[in-house]
Amino acid sequence: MQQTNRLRPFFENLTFDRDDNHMVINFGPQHPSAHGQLRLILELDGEEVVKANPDIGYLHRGMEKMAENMIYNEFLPTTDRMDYIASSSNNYGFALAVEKLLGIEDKVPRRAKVIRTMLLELNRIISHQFWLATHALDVGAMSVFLYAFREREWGLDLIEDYCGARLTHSAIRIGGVPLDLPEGWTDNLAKYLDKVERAVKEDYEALLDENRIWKMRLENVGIIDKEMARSWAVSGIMLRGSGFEWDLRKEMPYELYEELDFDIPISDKMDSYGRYKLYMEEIRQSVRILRQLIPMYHESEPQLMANVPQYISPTKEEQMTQNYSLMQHFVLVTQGMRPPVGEVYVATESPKGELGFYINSQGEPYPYRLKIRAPSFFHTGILQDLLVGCQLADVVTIIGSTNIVFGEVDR
Amino acid sequence: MNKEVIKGSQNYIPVEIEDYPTTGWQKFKQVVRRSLGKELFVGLWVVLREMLKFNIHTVQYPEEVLPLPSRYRAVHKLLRLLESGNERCIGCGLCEKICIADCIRMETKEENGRKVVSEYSINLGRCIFCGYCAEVCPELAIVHGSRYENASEQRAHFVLKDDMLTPIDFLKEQKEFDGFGAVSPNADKLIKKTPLAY
Repeated sequence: MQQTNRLRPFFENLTFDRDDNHMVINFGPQHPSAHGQLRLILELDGEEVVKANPDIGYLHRGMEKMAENMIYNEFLPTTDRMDYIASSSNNYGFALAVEKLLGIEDKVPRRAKVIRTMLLELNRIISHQFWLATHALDVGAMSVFLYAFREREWGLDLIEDYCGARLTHSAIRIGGVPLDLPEGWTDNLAKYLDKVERAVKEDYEALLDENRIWKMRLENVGIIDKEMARSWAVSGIMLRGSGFEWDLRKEMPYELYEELDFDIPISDKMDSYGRYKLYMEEIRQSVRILRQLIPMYHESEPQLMANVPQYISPTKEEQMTQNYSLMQHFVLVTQGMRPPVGEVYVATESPKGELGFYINSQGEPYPYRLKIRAPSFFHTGILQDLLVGCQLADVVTIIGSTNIVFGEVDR
Repeated sequence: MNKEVIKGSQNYIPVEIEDYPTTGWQKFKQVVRRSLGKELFVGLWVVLREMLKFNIHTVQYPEEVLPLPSRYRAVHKLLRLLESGNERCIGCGLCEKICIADCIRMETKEENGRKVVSEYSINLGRCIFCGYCAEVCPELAIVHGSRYENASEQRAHFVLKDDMLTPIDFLKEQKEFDGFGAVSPNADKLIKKTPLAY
């Protein structure tokens, strides 16, 4: 406890040895490179970090509790606010979990699956570009930030054309997708993919790959060895950057990933530079996936939502022409769908890593318990081990390299 | 769905990264290679090339405005029936129920044996523009419009029904919304019978 008669800084639940020249500083929550609301309590010996303690909860909105008081459909826009850099991937993770709970994941129409996979990969590109932009800005490469944001905006334009929002898409529904792609969208997508591919090669990689400042700041910085990666349960690129072959798109395939050809880059360098190369390669692979999806879209039937009247509202045309469909729609909106009693955990590979949704249903229209396994939460935890022993200047690049988003950590 | 599933190939591939120099001699060689190579000028060249394209993407906002897609979800609109000019809203309350931010309120009363909506308000200060109200509306009455500049001097301006409702003399200019909750573009071909036919 704090002693009132002595002037000592007070940090909850933390003890710092203050006998020597060590200094305790707050890094964030308002630090511009704290990527949102991260507060790091660092104990420094000169410039070297001796002890690091991430303090989270500055963006806590109680989403898991909110879910218990909402019908399943209502919770979907809330998931937008988790990883707000790639919100469709959260929507998708939740929708897939509910679909598995209802047992209707096979009834999702083909076209909805194509559109969902497109959105997921588009979100991956956008998220990786955002990561590159902010990470490069942290390291000091301002022009990369501008170029990466330029292409990201074009990607956001595509999503805006599809669902009408740039940040909080809500673009996926339980049982399908709400809308078909607008006319000419796939052509715009193809043009966008060319631009991204060019930009990755000629802008980002040309500026950064051999840049000596970039290399000096990233090489052998933030080394996550295999043991550390395993014990902190990191996922996504952080895991593959440590040489593990683990990608949920391949290991537990969902949507159309089984049918697509793509490579999953891994690196055994274990440092920030290796992870940067993985991000660049993943953008290229996402471009490759999206190119394969365009013809698949044109071959598919126009149905968008699963035809399960018990759980899913009928289409607008049916509502406006058939009395029984309209009644069903009213019941499903006012009371909500009632999934069977049971529990389900579904993990998807979001741009950040393994995004899992656990739902416990007691047969009510509201989940009894909903738990979100957000990848960034684990990547924040690893900072305790990762930052010890590095310089204060490297703290910024390591935080950048972990790609944490605080909407997801605090939920 | 009966088609057999085509399996794609997904492989793990290691990315190629040159080994980092460890010994002093390797570091020296790297310094020489970097100093004499074009590494110093690549960045300058890339930035210069982008500059010389004169492909400027900045928009001078208040003077220039980006075009909005027809599905954009901004401040709501209440639409009218095209034939009669009556309000489409029938006061069913589905939007009020589904609203996640709980910002829609309506009051209905009975007039000449019919339900009429006497008050309808959307608190735009709370609205999260998720599009669910447009999606659940069975009459295509509440939709999203394209007005996104909603700064105001008073909070009361964020809720006015009159601002959302199509003015009766602008009925001809009223447009349907393409985004969430819209009927599919080829709906008239899909529908065999209208409600009156049942």
